[in-house]
Amino acid sequence: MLLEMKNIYKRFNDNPVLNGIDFYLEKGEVRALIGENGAGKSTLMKILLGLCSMDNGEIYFDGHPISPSHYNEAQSLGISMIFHSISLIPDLSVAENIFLQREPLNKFRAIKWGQIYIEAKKYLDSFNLTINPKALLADLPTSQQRFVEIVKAVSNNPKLIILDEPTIGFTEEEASTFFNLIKKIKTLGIAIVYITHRLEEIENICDSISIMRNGLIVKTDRLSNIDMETLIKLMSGKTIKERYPKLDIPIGKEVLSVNNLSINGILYNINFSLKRGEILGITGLYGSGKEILSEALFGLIPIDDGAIVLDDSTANIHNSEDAVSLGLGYVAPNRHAESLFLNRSIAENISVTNLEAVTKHKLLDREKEFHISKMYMHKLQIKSPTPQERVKVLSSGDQKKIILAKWLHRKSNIMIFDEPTSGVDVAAKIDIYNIINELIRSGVSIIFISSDVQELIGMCDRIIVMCDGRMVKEFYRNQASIEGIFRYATGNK
Amino acid sequence: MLPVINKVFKSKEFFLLIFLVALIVIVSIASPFFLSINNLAFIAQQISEVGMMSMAMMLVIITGGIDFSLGAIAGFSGVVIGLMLTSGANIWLAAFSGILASTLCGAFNGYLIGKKNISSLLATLSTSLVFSGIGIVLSKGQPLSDFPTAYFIFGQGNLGYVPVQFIGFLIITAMLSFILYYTPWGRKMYLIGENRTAAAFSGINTDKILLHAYTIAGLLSGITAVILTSRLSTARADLGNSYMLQSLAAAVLGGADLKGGRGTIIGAVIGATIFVIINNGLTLLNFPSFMQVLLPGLILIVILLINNSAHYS
Amino acid sequence: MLAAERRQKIKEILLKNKSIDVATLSKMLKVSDVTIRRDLDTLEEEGFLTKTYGGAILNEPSSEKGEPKYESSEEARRIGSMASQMVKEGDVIFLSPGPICLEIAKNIRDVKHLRVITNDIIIAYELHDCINVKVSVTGGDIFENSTVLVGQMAFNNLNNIFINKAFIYVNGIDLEHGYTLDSYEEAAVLNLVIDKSQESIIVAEHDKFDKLSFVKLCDLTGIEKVVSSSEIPEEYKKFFFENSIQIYAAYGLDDL
Repeated sequence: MLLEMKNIYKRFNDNPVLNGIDFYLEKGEVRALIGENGAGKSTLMKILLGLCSMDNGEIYFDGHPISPSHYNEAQSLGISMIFHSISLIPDLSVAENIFLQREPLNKFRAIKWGQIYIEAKKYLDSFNLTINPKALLADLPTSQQRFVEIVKAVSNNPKLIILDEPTIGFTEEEASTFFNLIKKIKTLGIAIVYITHRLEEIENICDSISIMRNGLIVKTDRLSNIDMETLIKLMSGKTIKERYPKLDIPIGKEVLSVNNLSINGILYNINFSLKRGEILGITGLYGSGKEILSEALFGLIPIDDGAIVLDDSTANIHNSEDAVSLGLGYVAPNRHAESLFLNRSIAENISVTNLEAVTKHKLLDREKEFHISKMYMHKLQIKSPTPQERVKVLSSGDQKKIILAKWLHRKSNIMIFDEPTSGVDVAAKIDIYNIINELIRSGVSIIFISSDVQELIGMCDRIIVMCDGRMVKEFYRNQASIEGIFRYATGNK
Repeated sequence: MLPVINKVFKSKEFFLLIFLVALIVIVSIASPFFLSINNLAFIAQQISEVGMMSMAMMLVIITGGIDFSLGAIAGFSGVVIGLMLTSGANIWLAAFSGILASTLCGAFNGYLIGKKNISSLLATLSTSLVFSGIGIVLSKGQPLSDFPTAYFIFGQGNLGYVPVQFIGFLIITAMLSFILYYTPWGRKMYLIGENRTAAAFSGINTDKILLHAYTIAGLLSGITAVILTSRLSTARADLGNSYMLQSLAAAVLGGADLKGGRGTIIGAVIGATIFVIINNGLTLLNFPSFMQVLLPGLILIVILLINNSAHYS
Repeated sequence: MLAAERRQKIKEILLKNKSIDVATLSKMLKVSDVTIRRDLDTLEEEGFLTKTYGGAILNEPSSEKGEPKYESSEEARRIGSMASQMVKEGDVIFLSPGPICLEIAKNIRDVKHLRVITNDIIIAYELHDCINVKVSVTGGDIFENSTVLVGQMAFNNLNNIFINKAFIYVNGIDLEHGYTLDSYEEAAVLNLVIDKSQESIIVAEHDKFDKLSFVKLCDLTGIEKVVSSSEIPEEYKKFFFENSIQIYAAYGLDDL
């Protein structure tokens, strides 16, 4: 065992930061240390580096008890850290930085530039880094400066290197180079503690994970024994799914089937079905076609090929009037332009989807309209003195509720919600989820279009991922994960 | 002070009505002939024509559009009537043909604007040239006259002291007002004018409703053509031109908002009446004819300014 | 005065005075004691009053001897309906005392293979004649003239069982102080229930929010599901979401 930290306690004033941490590391092990901000990761490492004192506990390094009180002490023990900010001298060259203050390497005198550069080049080459040792550090991009820093640390022959969020600001390519660098370092038998928020990075380089929460290590395990979902859960204590009020109701027979729907140049062979009481999520990046799909279903855009089948008969949907009369409803994403008549009254905005319902003997009955609107306002808690009020003056949350009210008024069987919670505060989000629950209880089937992947996993029974106008994957709720959805949405499988 | 007026009277139409009444009082004081039966009958005839066209324009403006071809449609329709009459057709058949022609013209506008999504401004400017052109071609650029006297009933007939067309006009006004206010169809007109996209997103067949609006506007123009050609016993392709801008001005005066979603038939009729009476007053009082152009224009500007400042409340 | 008229008069007097003695009645109505007593007999048979020594008292609706009941508000019905959606075939559920759990009981009569455990007699009674549902009472001491069972006997019985879902009705919900109940005895029973349950679900009307009752059950973060109504304060909706507590806020749209 290279490192043993036992029962470490640390308090800052009244604030307990480390509550009896046990942290062990083997020689050459690459351990990811993860935890939400404030969990105590940095503090633990600072203690190890002599930058911070512990209140209680014991540390053993390479079999010997240690209690470093200075960073230099830790360094001489063979513990090194790469901090957040680059701690090199920008005005010196790469090589000079690498060999700065190197008592052990005193075969170099300042005069012997040639040898410094040759040795530096050797180091850089051994790590497959194409960096010019004579280059001024300040002239290098941040990622390369970081590489130099690591090379410098490694050239000291440490036993343990601690990396704290080293890849911030890196491009994918730079990150890739970085990972290779780390893998190389591993082969030298150096242990690494890798502090990161990025779960994808862990998969790439780490052997094991320690998860810190509220000042304790809640789990340490080999990476192969932990899956992403568990990882997220362990970090924050809860799964994503559990914060959304999903209601499980019995799902009925098929109410909608989309067969080979295509729009030239935009949508290709879209196939899916929807069952009664189901919430079907559709997601994808901007340009994936999900926005177009919903408008096509609602009759606002003509389709070139394929069919929409409702209740076992092919639907002829040429305009939104057809769609609505066949039982479809569409809660559009953009609050104003597409959904509300701002200068008209609340009552007129609500009744529009079903004017027949507010008629008496085929003529508009404004009193009926008033009362029905009042009822919706009461049910949905829309704060306004009267349904005669113009929608323009309402708050945005209330305006969103008006849009919901008008589709509730229609009593559509199939409701398409297009980004229903975008731009909406948490309380209103909760309201919308609960209204959706009420709808499915009464037998309405929902198509839920959203770019909030967490929301989709939380609320939908199935999720369809679209990419470049095609359906690329269908997930059932228990199969879906954020990573999985993103992978398909971006086209990488 | 102005917002107070608006609040007190609650609607533009009421304000206009007051203005109209004041106007009538002023003119009748200024000229003893104003309230004579002949003059009133004449005014009624004028209102029937200008008012009908203004209603047509108002309908279109409510839906968020504008129709610059109404005059041309009336002219073309008149030509059709004239041709039929001069070839010996029955007066009813001729009248019917004219109205049919105008309705089809309106439907064509409605198709371009509703289904094909062309802007109403561009579409109707273009069709006005087309309809005029056809009218000129058919009439060979000449006025048509020598109509059978039976035909005069439409524009010169009287029921008691009241011109026949005025009664027809009142009936149509009542019907159209009622339909716009009390039917779902009418409500859809306003909503489309307010926000065509939102209307489509709410399940309204906007293409179809717009088609209806322009078709009816065409129909009303045709009826106007019947009355006009009957009163003047002449038909010319350009007969409707003077009514074109008048109807627009009357509709705007009457509360039309070119953005759409606003205005009433009654407002359009009151607007039309105001202009008719102003013109009538100016004629009776022997004002020079340029005043007949200037004064209505000035009044329109004043009313627009008042409306605009009230609008911002 | 005819007998019927006189009895009507007695009813009116009792409605006003709630209780009256025979002597006063006989003086007011100018008849003999015996006659009054006969009238009172008849009226007692009708259920209108109860004879006492020397007089009679009005039977208030709640003192009617018959089924005990809760007054269920529209909101309780709404919430109960929503919560009952969570009860699945084969579940073993616990229903705590209160009108909302009573509504849940009314809604789950058709769930197959269901076992319901409760410490509220009213709820047990509601389900007693239901074929699908096996009802068990925790046993215990009746708490303060209510219909709720508490005490050691209840503990003993609860100790040996396993519950899938516990529906817990609370009297107070507060961001800082958590879920609170009116009495120590009830809280003790419910605490044990929560321990024994796989999943606990808080049910409460919206007026319980921002309220503090006497005994703390647990912190808000201690329970993962809450069913209430749409009128709850916004800061609670926010709190629940941010702390990964599922909040079901019933809207009651089914009657639209």
